[in-house]
Amino acid sequence: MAADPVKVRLQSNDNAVIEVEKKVAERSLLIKNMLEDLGETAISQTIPIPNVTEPVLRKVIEWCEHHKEDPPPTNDDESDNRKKTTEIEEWDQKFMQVDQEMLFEIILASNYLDIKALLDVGCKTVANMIKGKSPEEIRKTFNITNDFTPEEEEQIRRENEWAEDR
Amino acid sequence: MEQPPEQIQSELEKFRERWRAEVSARTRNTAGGSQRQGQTAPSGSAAPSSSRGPPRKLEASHRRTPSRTVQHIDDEEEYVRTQNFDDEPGKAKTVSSHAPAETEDKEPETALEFYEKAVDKETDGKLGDSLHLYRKAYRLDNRVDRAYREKHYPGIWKKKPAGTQAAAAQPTPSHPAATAPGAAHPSSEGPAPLSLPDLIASFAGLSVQGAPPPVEGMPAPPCPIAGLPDEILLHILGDVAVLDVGDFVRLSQVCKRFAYLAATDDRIWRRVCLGPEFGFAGMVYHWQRGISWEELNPEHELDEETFTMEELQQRRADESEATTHALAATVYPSWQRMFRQRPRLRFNGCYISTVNYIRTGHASGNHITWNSPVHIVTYYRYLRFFRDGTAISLLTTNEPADVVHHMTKALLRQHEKGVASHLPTAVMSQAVKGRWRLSSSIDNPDASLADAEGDLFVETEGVSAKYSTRMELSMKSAGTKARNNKLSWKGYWCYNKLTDDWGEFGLKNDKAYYFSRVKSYGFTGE
Repeated sequence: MAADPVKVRLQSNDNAVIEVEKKVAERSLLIKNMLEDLGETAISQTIPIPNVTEPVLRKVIEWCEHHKEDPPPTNDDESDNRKKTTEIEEWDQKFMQVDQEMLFEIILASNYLDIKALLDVGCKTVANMIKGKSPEEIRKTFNITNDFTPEEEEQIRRENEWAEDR
Repeated sequence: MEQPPEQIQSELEKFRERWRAEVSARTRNTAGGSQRQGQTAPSGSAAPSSSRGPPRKLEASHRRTPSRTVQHIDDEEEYVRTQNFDDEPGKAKTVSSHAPAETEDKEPETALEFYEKAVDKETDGKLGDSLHLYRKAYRLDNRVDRAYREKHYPGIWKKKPAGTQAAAAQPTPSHPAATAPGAAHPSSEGPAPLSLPDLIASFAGLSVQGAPPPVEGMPAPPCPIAGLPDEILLHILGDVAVLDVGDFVRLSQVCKRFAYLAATDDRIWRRVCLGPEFGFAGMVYHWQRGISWEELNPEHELDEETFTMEELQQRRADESEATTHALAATVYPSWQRMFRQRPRLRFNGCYISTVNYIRTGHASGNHITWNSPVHIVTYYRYLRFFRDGTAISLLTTNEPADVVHHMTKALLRQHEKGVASHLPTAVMSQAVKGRWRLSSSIDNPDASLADAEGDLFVETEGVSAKYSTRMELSMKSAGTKARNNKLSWKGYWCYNKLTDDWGEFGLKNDKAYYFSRVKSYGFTGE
């Protein structure tokens, strides 16, 4: 395996087939587990990724390529989660400079493919978009309709007043 | 608060109109009215563009005074003049309660605005300005306090019998901050909205609604966030909470689905409580540093069981986390409640104690006058805490706006021993280093785990090298909604290092510290 990297083929839901290094594809726990279960036979076959379109899949693979040398994700969820910094590294920041639709597609794809680190980066990117904004600004940013009645909104606002720092 | 000139102009016009109407109404009124009118004349002359002092303009010119010295003189004038209207709000009310009703329904908003501004000023400790504004508010609308309460505390107001003049005439509840500047408003004990759990429950299963198209017939703008499943949304909400708890809570106001998720998921609060950013992992229950920020000497701290400072730190962190878990299981019904109610120090701002007291002066020998002046003395105590167990303490007459942004360690070092006194940050030359820790069961071995907490110890350098001071504060909450925003005094001592003596300071004028968030400290306060 060392000399010639093993490749796997992934097929998006619009039938595009993308060939990637096995090591890259294994950033996705879903694919990794699948390959482990199927053994050698899977290498020769095309793996369908039914929930993901080609542009999104290519984007996700781009991320996996860049992060292929990262240590594998640990299962120690909680302590890991708490020590993690809130910073996003620079390359990831650039990578996430896409339009909102693509951003959420990437988040959904990384969730489906079980790429925890990418999901984290995506969610943090969204969190940064929310940070420091008023409810109205958040609605504007994400095209969300205010579905509260004025009374409900007031009630929620009052309930949450304690957390506001004047 | 700064207003563009054209806005001021239109305000001015409006105000003139109002003024004329009021004056014509007042001519029918008692002598009290004209007397007070005479009083405002000098303040009007301060605004050169108009012979009738328009309060807006006056306000703006005050605010804009560029240099600190000018501002200072300004303030002093205000304070000297306060002898005229020391108890003016109360007086104004009784007199103007005869005022014609039309003034009230004519411009309620503006009176309210004055009132709000007055409350703000009072919170800032600018009593002179504040009294001035209160007066104006009451002259525009003698029931402005009610309007204020209706706007800010609708819950409590509903409970009271409406329309009783007597209620409005009671001075205490109508002046939220009159007795204790900066205190939360006493009438804020609103009834908890009973239907809230039901309301939240009714939001279950709703999805995020996309915005409607800007023009009918056009395709609606994309709303990709609506397509996310709950678990990913929660992940995002959790990330927001780690960045800033306030932002996370505010998300509830965006739409019903967010409100439901934020209210029903306690795991995010668990993470916040256990995390170091805003939670209890950032609290310090043992001295971490010396009073002058020096590293502690390991030999004093270590015992047979532990060998390195790192081990000691780790052990304490484990202990503190165990305490947090124990409290979560017993005392606090949810992690959200724990975050709200468990004593917790905040790093993303500073604590300010505004002290106002009145000192009677002597009549000047050069002037023949009937009354002797009364000085209102205002000074401020500032405390800023850092995560590493250090603190900065500052006692000054400078106002918060001139101080809080400079309360950094770098500036304290720069101005040590009074150097660079020409810089605007020179106020920091009076700041002293200190350290802090919270109380725990070690201090109160007999109390329960929860009761043992809630006190804060701050030790600072003294005015000279041979002294140090020790403050004992208790962490309180001002208002019923906000928590952990007040530090009230329990004791204040100074320690003479040479003679090993403790001397106690009186707390006569010392008011509680209130927390103010300072944006420039950053979201995490580092």
